[in-house]
Amino acid sequence: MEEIFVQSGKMGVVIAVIAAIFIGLVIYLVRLDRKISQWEDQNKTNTYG
Amino acid sequence: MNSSYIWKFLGVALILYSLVFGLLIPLKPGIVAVSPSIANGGDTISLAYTAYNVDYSAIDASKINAWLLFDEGKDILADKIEVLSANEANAIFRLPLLSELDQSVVSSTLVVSDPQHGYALLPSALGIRPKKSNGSLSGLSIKYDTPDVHKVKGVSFPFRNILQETIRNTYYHVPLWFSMIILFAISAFYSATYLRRRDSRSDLYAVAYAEFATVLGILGLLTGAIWARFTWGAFWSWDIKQFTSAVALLIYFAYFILRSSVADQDKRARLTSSYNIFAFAMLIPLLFIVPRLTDSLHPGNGGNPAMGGEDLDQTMRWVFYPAVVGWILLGMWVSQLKARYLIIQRKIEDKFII
Amino acid sequence: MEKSWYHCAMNRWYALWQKEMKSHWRSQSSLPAVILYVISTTFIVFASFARIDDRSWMVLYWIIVVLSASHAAQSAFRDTEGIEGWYYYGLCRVEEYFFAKVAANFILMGVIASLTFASLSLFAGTPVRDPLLFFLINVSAWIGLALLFSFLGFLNAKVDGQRGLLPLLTFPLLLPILLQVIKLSSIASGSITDTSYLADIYILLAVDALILALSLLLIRYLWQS
Repeated sequence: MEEIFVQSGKMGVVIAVIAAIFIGLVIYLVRLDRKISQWEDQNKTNTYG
Repeated sequence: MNSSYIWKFLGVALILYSLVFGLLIPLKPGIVAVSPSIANGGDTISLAYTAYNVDYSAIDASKINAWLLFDEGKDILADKIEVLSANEANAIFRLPLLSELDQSVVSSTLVVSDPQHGYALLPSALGIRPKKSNGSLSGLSIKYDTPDVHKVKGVSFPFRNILQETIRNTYYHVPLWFSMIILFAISAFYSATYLRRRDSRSDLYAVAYAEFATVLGILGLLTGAIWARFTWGAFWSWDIKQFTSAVALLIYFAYFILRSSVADQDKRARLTSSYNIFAFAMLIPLLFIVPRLTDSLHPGNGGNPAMGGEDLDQTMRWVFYPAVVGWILLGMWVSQLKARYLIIQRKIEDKFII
Repeated sequence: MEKSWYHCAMNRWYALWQKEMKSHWRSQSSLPAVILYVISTTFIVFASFARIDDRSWMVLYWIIVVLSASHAAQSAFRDTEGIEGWYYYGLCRVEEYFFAKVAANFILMGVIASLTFASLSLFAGTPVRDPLLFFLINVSAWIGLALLFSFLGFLNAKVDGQRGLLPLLTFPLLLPILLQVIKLSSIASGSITDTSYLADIYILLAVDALILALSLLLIRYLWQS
């Protein structure tokens, strides 16, 4: 595991950092998406029905 | 296209730019390891070194220069270079006695240079123990002229020994903090607007901005920990800047807990707006003044100027500053999305109550 | 005209301050509880450490002071509701009450710190080499802590039901003060030698000034409806 990060001039660390940022952003967006979906489901009948 | 998308796409474009150029531009060559690390004065040694970002298989060994650099610009040139593999070579040195020096070990920097890759250096590469002797080896004393340093044209990032390729994280880890501070500032501004105008819109904008800023802060701490593991040796080393950033996040966690513990909408907005402004103002001594007076592993602390000189060279600025702007714009976009969602939610809630 | 307004304000402030001090003194939960709190914390510390060096002494001193002050500040807001009535009937201004509270808290900080100092010195001796500097640090820290605990105590008093929120709100915010103060105290105890500590004192005072300015600016919004 250690070797993957350290080989070729520690390039693995850069990839890990970029991946962490991307995963963090996606988790935030998925949570927001789910909250919006919940509200849509609750208000389907009231807003349009 | 709607004009309100221009800055959003600009943000994304700047982040893409920082990804492409931050990852593609090569590093300058460097020296990763040498052996032996200590030798006696007067010996003839074969110093084996491993270089980074060079390809010795393609060039003539006689064109490679290697020399040991001492204080005050004194140096000794290697007699011969023997190429071992694509990135390894032996430099044969006849070391001086150094008997005139009254030190137990004299430290020297190894410099390697060739016309194709340019120069690379490793500070404190070889320690030499001076030999006390009355010998007549006068030919081996230190010279004072410096051999040619090859400079190669082209764009490249500096090579730092411990950092190596992770120097690129400057474009991905550091902008998260810049963006976080700006988003917290915008959040505090919306809180102040709320206290002046008493519109729940501003309050919801303040929450949304503080929330995404906190997300960026958590990501900054996380990426910092990954980076630190492979450069400083541990995920968490109680560095003052790691510590104060974590405390800054705690302040905003307290903000969200405060929000969740007041039921009445207006009272909640009033109390948390006051706290938000207070918290942001307290971030300034916490993040900018206190760390600067304490020793730190981070650049720009312990009395050093922040982000200047050695730590951020001209080429890096061209990638770093666009990345900062890009992350600020992306942060504003996501925060606004969240705020707009909160406003719609509030409208629907109010409709039900009436 | 100007003078009489000032006079009235000072009189009201003095009355509020007296009320604060009396409530601190009288209520069964406040001052005696704080004394007990300080002494028992010191006991626990010594039961677990037995011997401590100068730097740890200072760190423990400040931790005990902050914990006790937080405990005291939390129990000091039990009867704010009465004073809030004064405010709504226009009998006093929030700022006046706030400063009465700050003054009372400042004195309380002094009492707590002296008690902690006395009990720590009794058990472990005193490492203070520069008493004047140590006193100066203490006073500037008390000002900052009293302001912070008063402001956030006001805020916390408005949070319905959940009174345990105060440590959560204050501890991260008082860290800039605490970090400066521990560093300066180590200089006063001689465990760090640093001749240029004046800059650190200025920063501590600047943080105090910042908290003062923010409290003055924001306090009126906490009691509005």
